[in-house]
Amino acid sequence: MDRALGCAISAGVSATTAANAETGFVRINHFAAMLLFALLISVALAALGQRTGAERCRYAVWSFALFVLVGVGIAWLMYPFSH
Amino acid sequence: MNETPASEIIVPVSVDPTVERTAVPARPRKAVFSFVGLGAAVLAWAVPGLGHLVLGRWRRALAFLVSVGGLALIGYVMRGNVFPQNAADAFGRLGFFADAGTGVFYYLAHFVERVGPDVSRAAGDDGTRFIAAAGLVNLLSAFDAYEIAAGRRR
Repeated sequence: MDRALGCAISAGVSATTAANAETGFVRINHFAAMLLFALLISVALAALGQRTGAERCRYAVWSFALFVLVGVGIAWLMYPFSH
Repeated sequence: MNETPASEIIVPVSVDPTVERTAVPARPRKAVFSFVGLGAAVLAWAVPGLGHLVLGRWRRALAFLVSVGGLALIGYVMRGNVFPQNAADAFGRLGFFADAGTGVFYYLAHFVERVGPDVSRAAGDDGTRFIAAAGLVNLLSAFDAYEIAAGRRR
């Protein structure tokens, strides 16, 4: 029974991996995903709210830094609950 | 009986000669609804950045195309969940409205994410958030295009 279940899980993982390779799936870890999300949202918010190009650049950098700092800070706050 | 019409009666605003009267420039009245703005908003929703491009704001257009397209495509590559139109519950319907906000990228999901979503892993769950965020950012850009076309924003 356990062996059959193990085979099924193994087959599922293999199928998933094959499907991922076929469709161009890319494994992105949490930190890289957070950086990408922060970067793209910061660019959009800067384009929405600011008037001049220099203001937009400053706002985008500031927003990106805050996204990353707050994200890492919340991650450390949640760290004790994961163990 | 010769009566003056009510519209021609002039009421003095200030009778005090010591008060200096300054000319206040009249504010131009803005239209409540703008059809041009609606067109720009629809274009901005359909193809991220197109509404701003039509209005001559090519930098904003590029920023929205990169951010909305990037978020949506990364979400698809991470195998995030794309909510269908006929969702069963309220959360599914909200998810559909968020995802449909990406415009043309909602229909590209079927080509990029061929085997469907996989939210059994954290990456797929993150991808779902990426796609929803892309839709919401694009809706904001559509509102921005409307405001620019209506003359309320520069």
